[in-house]
Amino acid sequence: MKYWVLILFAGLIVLPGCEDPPGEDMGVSLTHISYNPTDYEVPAFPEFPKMEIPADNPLTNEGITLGQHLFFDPILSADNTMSCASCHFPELAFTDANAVSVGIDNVAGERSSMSLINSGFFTTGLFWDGRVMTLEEQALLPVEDPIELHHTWPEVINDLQESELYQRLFREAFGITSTSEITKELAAKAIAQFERILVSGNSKFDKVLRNQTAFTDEELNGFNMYFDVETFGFETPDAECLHCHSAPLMTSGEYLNNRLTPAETLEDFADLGRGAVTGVPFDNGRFRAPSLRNIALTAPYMHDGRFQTLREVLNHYNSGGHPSPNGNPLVYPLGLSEEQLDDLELFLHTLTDTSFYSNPYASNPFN
Amino acid sequence: MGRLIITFLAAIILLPGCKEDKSTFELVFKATYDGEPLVMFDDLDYKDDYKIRITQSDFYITDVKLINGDSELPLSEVEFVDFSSFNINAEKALEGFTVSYDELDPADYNQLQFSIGVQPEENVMKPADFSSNNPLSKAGYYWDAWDSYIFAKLQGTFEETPGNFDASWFFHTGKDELLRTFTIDTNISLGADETSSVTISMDHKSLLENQDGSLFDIQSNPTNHDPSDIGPIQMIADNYLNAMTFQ
Repeated sequence: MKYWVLILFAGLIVLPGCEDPPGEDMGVSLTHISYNPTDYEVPAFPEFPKMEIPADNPLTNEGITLGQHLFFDPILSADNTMSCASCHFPELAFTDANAVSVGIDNVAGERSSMSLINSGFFTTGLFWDGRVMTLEEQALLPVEDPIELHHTWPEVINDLQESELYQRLFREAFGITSTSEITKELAAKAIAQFERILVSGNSKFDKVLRNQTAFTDEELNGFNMYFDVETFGFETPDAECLHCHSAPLMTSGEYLNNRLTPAETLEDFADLGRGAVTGVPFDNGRFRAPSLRNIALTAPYMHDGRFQTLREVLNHYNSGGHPSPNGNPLVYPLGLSEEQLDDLELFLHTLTDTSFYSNPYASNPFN
Repeated sequence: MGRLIITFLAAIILLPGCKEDKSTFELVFKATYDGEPLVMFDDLDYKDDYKIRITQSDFYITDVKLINGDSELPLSEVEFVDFSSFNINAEKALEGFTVSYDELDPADYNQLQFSIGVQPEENVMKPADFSSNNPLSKAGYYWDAWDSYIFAKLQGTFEETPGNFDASWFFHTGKDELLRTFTIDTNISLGADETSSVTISMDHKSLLENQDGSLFDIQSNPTNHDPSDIGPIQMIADNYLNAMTFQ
């Protein structure tokens, strides 16, 4: 009798422990799906820096596949109408052709959509103002931004956990054993993997440097002006482009005020840009110098999309821009002729490279 | 038995003390202008008829080492001294931009040596050759037209008319021949568990002096961009020695 009483008490004590803790969903087991991730090698270009990939987020085909699906899937938006790709079209070098991007509620943002090409190489910060340092951090923000996808991550995660497609893709990418392990951090990692493979380094400019082709005389003239090259017998003025748009990525990654807006004081900027991030007044009105690779595909230009064409951009720099206390000294009146501006523009077109389209991951998997 | 326990406990207590104590050495760079702390974007008296503002001053130091006779302690291959983003107010300017070296063995030295510029063996390389945590990865500090790193950037604006600072000036040094190495005689004692430091004040007005002591005519020649005419930037490279004072 005593023996049975003991067993009964033990059962009373132990049995509640077998229940799920209140509020904790154990999810659906995914172990029946195979997990065999395969490494992905980013295309290498001899002139490029080595891409620095976080040790806890190595590139795999399965991770990239998941990231590709998440990138093109409107499941990330509150009303299922917009995805990352809605503001980053592959054919526009992952920009959207709008001066400023518009979110699901038809509310316009303040800034232009940035190209994602070669973003895996950028090490000085992301977005126009550098408010995050990594692609993993960046991928988390648009979902909950009220003027972008205007959703919440808990709701997105709930939708992803219930989706058989994503159950499989998350399992294959990260080896999770249950749907409860699907998190926003893993989603961001997958999107970051997808973005890291968007590599472009096969433009005419690159091929000329590799002695695979040659510039026309006009393009060469533009090249010499862009890089301030001193040539004998074919003198060109300096256009000073290289200081902020340095090879090979055609950006220095620095935050600069390129004199777009007249400002008497450091407080006279409608958009503080980098200054809003650092709190340093000298950074007001400064924005990250974007890469000029594929620049012919990414109109309109500047952080607010104020210039519709490359010629408008060149005209701005040729004029020296507007007075501003922290304006970049390298933006000053250049005195380039119309013919020289033509040549510079032709050179900028040699930075176009559409070969990344051939990467099967760079397209919408739902089409 | 009791003695054994006491010995054992004493060993536990004392053994960590047997670990060799290390030292820290700091190089503190202070930017000044005419002897006063330099704050970026401040109006600065320059020539009689116009003022200037300095908005950027930064440079590479390389091959930093402490020396005592034949004994050398290499501290680092390259550092980037960045007054531009550090000297944002008087407090920061007084504090100084500090480069710190930890875990050094205690010892005495009587010289500090470093170069301003990039050593020739690194200057044949490009930013893409370095990982992002290396200062030499800065793409904006390489000039293809020179086949060289930009060793130092010194730039700002000047008055065209009183109170109007819209016009820009900039001098960027570079190329192997403008690398300058400085050896400073100073006693540096790296004591155990201590931090030693050398403070280097760099007077920016002195950087802009001609050989005869007059100031650069920034209004007339605000830039250097002709690789065949390195006069102004050679002057700046040479001026670093006289512009620096050491404590």
